[in-house]
Amino acid sequence: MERKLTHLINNKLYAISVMAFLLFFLSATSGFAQAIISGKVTDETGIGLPGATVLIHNSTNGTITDIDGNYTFSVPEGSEKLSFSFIGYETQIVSINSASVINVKMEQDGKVLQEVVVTALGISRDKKSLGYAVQDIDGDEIYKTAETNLINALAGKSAGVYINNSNGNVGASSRIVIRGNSSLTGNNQPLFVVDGVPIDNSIVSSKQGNYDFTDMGNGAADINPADIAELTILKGGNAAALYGSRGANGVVLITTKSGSKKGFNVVIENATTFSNPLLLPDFQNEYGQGGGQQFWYKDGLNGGKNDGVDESFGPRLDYVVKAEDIQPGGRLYWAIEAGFPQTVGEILSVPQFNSPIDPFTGERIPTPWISHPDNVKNFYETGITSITNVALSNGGEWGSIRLSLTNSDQKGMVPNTNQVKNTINFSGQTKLTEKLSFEARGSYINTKGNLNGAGYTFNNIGMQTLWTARQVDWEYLKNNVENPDGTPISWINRWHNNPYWMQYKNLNPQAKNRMIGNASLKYQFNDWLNFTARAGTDYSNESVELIRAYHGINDREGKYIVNNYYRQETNADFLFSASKAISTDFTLSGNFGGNLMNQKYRTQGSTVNRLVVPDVYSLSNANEPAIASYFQREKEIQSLYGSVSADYKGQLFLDLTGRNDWSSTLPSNNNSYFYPSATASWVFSETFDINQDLFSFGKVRLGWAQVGNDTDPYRLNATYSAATPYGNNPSFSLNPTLPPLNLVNELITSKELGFNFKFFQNRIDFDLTLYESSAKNQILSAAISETAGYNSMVINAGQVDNNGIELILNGSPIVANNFSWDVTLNWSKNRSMVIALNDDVDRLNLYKTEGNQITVVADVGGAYGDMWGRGFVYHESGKPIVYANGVPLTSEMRKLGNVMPDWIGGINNSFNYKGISLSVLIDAKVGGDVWSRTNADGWATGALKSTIGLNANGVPVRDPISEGGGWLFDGVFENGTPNNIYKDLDGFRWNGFAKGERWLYDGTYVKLRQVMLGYSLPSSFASKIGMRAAELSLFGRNLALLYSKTENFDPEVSNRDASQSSQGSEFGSNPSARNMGFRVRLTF
Amino acid sequence: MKINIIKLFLSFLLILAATACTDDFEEMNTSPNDLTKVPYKSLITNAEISIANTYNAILSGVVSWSRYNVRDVYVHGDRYNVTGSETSFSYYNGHLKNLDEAMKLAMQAEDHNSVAVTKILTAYAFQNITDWFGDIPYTEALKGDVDALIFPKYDTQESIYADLIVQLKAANAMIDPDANIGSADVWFNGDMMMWKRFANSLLLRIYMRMSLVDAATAKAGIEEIAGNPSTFPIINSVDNAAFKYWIPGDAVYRSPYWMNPVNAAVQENVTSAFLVDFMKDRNDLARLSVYSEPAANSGEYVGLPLGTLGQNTPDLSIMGLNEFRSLDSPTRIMRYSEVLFIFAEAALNGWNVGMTPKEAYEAAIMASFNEYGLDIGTYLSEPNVDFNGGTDQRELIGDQKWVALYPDGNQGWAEIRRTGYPTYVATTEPVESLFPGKGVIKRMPYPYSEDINNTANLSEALARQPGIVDEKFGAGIWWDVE
Repeated sequence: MERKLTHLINNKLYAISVMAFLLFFLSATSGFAQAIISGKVTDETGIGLPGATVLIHNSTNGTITDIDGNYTFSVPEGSEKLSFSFIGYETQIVSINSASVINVKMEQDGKVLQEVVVTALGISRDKKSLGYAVQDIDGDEIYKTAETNLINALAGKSAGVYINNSNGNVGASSRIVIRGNSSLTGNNQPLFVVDGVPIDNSIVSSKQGNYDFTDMGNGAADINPADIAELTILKGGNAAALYGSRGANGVVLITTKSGSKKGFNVVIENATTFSNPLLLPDFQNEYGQGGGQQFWYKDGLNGGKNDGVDESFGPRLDYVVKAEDIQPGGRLYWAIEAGFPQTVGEILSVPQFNSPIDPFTGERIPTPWISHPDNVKNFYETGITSITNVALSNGGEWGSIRLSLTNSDQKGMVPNTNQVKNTINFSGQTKLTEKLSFEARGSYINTKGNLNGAGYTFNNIGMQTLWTARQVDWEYLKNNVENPDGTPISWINRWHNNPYWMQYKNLNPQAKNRMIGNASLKYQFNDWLNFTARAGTDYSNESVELIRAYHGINDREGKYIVNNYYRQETNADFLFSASKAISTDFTLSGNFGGNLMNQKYRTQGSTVNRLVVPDVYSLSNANEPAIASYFQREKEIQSLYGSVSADYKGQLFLDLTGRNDWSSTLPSNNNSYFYPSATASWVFSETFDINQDLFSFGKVRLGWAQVGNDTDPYRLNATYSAATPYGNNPSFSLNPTLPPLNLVNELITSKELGFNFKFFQNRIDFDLTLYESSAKNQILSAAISETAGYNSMVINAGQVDNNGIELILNGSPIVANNFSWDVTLNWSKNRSMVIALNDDVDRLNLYKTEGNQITVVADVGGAYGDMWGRGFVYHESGKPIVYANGVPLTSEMRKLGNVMPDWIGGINNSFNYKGISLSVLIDAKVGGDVWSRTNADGWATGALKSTIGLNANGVPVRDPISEGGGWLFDGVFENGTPNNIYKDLDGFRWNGFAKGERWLYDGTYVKLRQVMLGYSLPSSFASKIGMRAAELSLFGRNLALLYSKTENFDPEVSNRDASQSSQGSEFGSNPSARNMGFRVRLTF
Repeated sequence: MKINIIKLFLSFLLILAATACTDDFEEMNTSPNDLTKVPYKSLITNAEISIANTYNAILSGVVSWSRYNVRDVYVHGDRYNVTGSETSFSYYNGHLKNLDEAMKLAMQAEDHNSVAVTKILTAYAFQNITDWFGDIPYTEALKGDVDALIFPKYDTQESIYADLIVQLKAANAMIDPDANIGSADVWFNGDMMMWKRFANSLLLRIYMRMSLVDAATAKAGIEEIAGNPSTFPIINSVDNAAFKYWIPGDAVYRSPYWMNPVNAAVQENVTSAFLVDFMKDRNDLARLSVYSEPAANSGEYVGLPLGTLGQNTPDLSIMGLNEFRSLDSPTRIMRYSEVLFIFAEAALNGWNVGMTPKEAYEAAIMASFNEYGLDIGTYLSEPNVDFNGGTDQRELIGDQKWVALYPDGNQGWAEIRRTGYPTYVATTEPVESLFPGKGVIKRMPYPYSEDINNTANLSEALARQPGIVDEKFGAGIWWDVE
């Protein structure tokens, strides 16, 4: 409770300081209104230009035009000229001459509209010159819906980008993969680069004990969306060639916001989001706890009838007692035998965990046995996320600075889970001399919270929801948490803690400090050559605690674990950049640079299994010696790289790159590796004289690239790990990974062909990319037969090929004065094939999904992510075959499915009417299988609706077989005749027949991903209240599952976190969240 | 100014160049976490602990299948539902590989006693594994680091047994019984005489296990040991039985059988109805009171039939607290009574062990009572115990050996499968209705990981052992001839 209070106080303080800022700037900006000038800024055709900048010439004082191109502006006395500017148009300077209305018609800036994107090494380039696919997303696009994890904000927005989130927990991790998985066992996620310096995006679950996990999120989730100016996704090998090894899976380049060059301004934003579960399992409400339709409670430890089982095969709920039931031999014989009186015509009564105790006998007095259909549903609260950002910026000829403060306060749907993130972001650039400029950027991120427990553990609330007997009144448990002696009041003392006791007593606190920053110096030798030197670091220190209170199940004497994680990546690099027009038609540019990357990781953990004093969580409060662990890792890569680009007439472009890496992780004779890339692109619409109104732009691009890759540290030698010494005797064990004999670097070769066409004056923009890649010599730890004395070996294995197609279509069906409609469609398909492993191995065991029924394998000739397991044996009629006793046959191991989707796509429609905008994003994933432990366990526990209902005889499946009840498997006997052997579901439900196939679902879905309604205040109105701009928006995310083939779970949710080994299975996680909220943004 | 700036750049480049040196890569890539070289005895320590925990667990399927203790809620395994998704061959990359490493290093050091210890432990582990699965990788196993042999072929159980005998005899021969290898040997505190006794007693167990399929070898082997006590010393009293004692107060190395009394898991060791009935039937209340606790509600001994759900725990008997669930409960690796039961069966076969069947049989039972400091009373004259009471003497030996082996699930299950005793009436237990007509479980299912990682060799092994039904029923293993 104390923790909660300090948390509250901290937030209050924060809120007060934000308010103070607000007041200060409101008063500071409302002092100077004298003359008012208004007007309209239009393009050549007279259409208003929204967002054009209007400034008092040679000052930073100004405004921007509204959606219609209108502006109103308070000009201080003595101002002479106004300047009007808009991207792609020539800046105009107009004298005021005491006019009160100034209309301006802007003219296009010389040539074609330039679309500038940031590419590798932070080099800005004209998009049309690129020979590979990039996709850039405006920072606002990411911030608009107030996603706390920026990866989630990318879902459905980009072709070839696969997003997996884990669940609706606070701080939950998400996964991003570009163009499929090329590495069999590696990370496969792209490299995240912030302002030119790589950062950590690992997905780490803190594992505590055998089953307890805490999903610590993914590293990139620390990047504050409010500070992102632009995000560029470099998809193929070419785009990433200059980033080396770690860019092999693509690169996500993030440019943070810089200070505005247009003078002092303040932006204040708040986004508040409300979250509710999107989908809960379909629970049954007809039978309560117990077995054999029998139950009465004594102690929850199997002291009563079946009160030690948490399964729902007990008596009928809400059952009105009939006269014949209480006759000897009647249906309720067991209740009668136990001496519980029943009244005919009233609901069956049995002693329950919350029945009152008779003060004379000490026995529980029977109470009505009734259903609580919403017990789980009501447990989830409305999650609230509030993100507040204040950004100050100033700039001018001297340079610019920006300071941004962000508070993100997340309260989870699960009681007492929360995460508060405070981010301070700074950027500044200035000229030290005429030729030397300096730039520094940095973020400090402080995260604190109490996260969900995860994993197959009683401390994961998501798991208890699936194992809760259906009559349990969680409302009662909420109001009756603890006994006077501190022991929890539970509905079943043997297996589960009181859910509320657990959430408030058993905590998973996280605290993290992270600093990401870099500083650079740039020297401009002359107009064609410059040199940049830069150093940056990403440092974080994180602690994750596991607090288990006294009296809990499994931890009667409490438990305390603290794990500390320290990560640091430092990059130092230099770059010479040159660009020179050799002739009027031919421009040559080149870069040469070097990088030194050093990565350090340390983790330190201490566990105390029994505490002396309850409720004190420290390592000294130990009833037995603390168990300590320590692990550290370091690696370094040194690189030199260069690139040459040629531009002929702005039509034909050629790029060549080369990079050599030296990695500390490879054997000394193989630790240096070189890889080149080449791309060409031709804007043929410029070369030929084409009707520009109809066919506005045409480009073809071609690329070939190689990217080398190293491995993890310390894989070259056999090592022994230490166990706790036995008395005074050390105890060591050989690590079960067989070290490699000769390891060489991995090499991924990729090819790419792309087309970009624009029609009807750019109103239709069509971009198509075809690619293929081949990853060879993959360094991986292959599972081998344990009988070889090792469970895995490090090898250079084979070849994985990916090929795919990406399509992006942008259209503007309606562009009118006041109304526009834009459609963006993206679609992509990727196919991974395992072509070869190595000489010895033809099938690799990658990982097992939750419940161990499915093994994800790499099989020569198969696809990446093939799921193998045991399924049904089918008759030629297509139905599963059953034994003579009605039990289905279980097949040998065979391929049952695949983790990876067949294709993904998204369609976004956006409408703008005056200041109002509406956008609707729908995305889809087709294919990709998920093994559902929710369904497997829920069927066995009887909690799900799938365990009730009528059988083919029209009799409830749970009724005795002798009375026509029983469960019939829809199969046939070996001879093809239909199965007619009914099974007593209660006795049969744990039978594991065909378990791999039986609970495997096609994870296809269509989701209403995002809806946003925005409104910008007309600037004329905004300026009246002292603001430059004001925007208001309402948004919703993850709003509806429009189509899916799964039951009882959201196909997007995985079981533990978003890491690779969690893909393709689900269980025991909390539901994903349906989010709705609003956002206000004020610019002063 | 310009000069200064150029100096600045040059110094930056110099710093980069100075750090950019790949010479220290090898040092950087040497793990600071784990050692690359350790004393071989520390590997033996690790293996001994692992072995004691692996083959003498009291919460495992085999304990239930032996009908010693059963579970009242987690009946999945008790009901024979075990599949290859739950089994593994991790013994190989665990203690077996550690012993293999230790053996190589001890040989280099010419420490013959330690070599012998690794051989004995390896043989002990392999016998347990092959008794679970049948044919397993043996001659080609543990050689991943030798010529990258990563697909070990499976050897027949018969050939493995033959080699176990060779290895144990060699170990016995190389031991200096007066030597002590020190406290790194956490089983016998370095006492090499104890190792000699254990090795030769283990040989007896192996010979008897194979006696129904290769009586000649068994006879010769057992007679050789029984006839040469100076060359082949064996466990010859309760005091020199092979027991592993733990460190009671240690958080990590207290008895693995200890259970926090308030922990829910305590209720999973319910005494089986079969055991309670068996002991009551023979008026064996002395040992029953050690093996089991009276039910909380009734104060009576009430067992639970294998695979039964839905009974009230306070109505049931739980495994004995003092001997088997305490902080200092030892792991009973091999007992004196077992050696005597082997002699009793050998003598009944007409083999010369220097004792009559009756002498050995009665001495064995006596040893079992002595193990717990119990007075045998009139037990030997109980109707179903009396060697000359009319009951088949082979059955009597089988019955008594089984009850004396409690709670050693591995040996109990193996002996039930080999001898068919005690006779088990399946219809009384719910497992029968789950697998109608399949009978009792006959073997541990091969791990599914072998299906993927060692496919061809597993297929070959399965083809060589026809008649296996549903991974675990049907044909028994080599020495199990029904």
